[in-house]
Amino acid sequence: MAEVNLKADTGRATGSRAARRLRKTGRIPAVVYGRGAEPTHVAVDHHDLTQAFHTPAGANVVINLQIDGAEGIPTLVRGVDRHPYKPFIRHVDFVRVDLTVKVHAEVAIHFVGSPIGVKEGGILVPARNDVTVEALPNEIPSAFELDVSELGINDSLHVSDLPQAEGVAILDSPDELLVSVSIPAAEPEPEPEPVEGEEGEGAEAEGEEAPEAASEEDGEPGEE
Amino acid sequence: MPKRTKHRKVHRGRRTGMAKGGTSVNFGEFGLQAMESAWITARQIEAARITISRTVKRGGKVWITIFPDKAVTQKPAETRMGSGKGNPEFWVAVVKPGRVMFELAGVPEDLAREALTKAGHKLPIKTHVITRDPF
Repeated sequence: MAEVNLKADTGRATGSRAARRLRKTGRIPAVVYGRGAEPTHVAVDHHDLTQAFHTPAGANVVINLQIDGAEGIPTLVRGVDRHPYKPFIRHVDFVRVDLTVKVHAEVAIHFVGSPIGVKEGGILVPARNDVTVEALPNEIPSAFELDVSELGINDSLHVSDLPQAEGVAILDSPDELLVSVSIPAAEPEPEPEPVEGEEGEGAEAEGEEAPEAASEEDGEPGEE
Repeated sequence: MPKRTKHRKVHRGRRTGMAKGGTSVNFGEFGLQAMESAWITARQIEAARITISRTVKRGGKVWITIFPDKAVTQKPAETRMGSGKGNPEFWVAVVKPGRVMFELAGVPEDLAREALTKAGHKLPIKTHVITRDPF
């Protein structure tokens, strides 16, 4: 598992207005907590943080947080607050970790291969895309690769089918469904488009729903 | 539209701010996300759904993650003001920026992007296609 160094500065002002001003400068507010120490408000560079997430470890990367130039503290990212629709991170929680103590983490599942059932007309429907594991911070796998190429229609794979990794315990129930190949629901036949001569009739049929629903419940007398 | 409602007519409300939840892809692999706020009518939702299913042709699973639960009233044409609120005419879903409206799984990425982009053209707002993995 890769480790990444990230510089952080203390002394940032707290509150929404100060945080907004900080974000305008390309830095984002963050907090560091855990292992019995007092929470520390820090600011990190947005670009450096997104680069840290781009290692193969993804969001489970161990980040050595160098607060005010001090020696790096090993941390994991516990919470990321994103902008609802822009590719910006607004706030991050770092949790201090001991590299010799196991932690819980969410690990992604990558479905590999093209299932037989899909070639026969089925759909691959993932039920879960990650599992919870317990492992040392440096031994958290970047992802589990699950081969789905043997799946036929109505076949499924469960947590118990995941490959075992040394030093990593999967905490989810072994019976939990991960992925299945199902038959697609039959799509209703599209209605034939009205011929030009029948245009009025077609338009009438199209407008039926709302007025009908309204008149059913409408107890009031009509307007003048 | 809902099968039954507690109140037939509701206030218009305000569409300030951004979506509080439902801003990430939860069921499928790709999603169509709103970048503006709007009332999306039941007909627009259906039009978008049909566009997705026609583009994908076969295979693929679609989730619609918004529901038109708000009745919009209108007074009849050429009616004098007063005499109470108009009649419920259609149903809308209140959508704010960031809301994922449609999700799609089981199709290749290029086809999913094409289907969702076309579906976005049926809606009265700017949209973009997002994937499950935010990084």
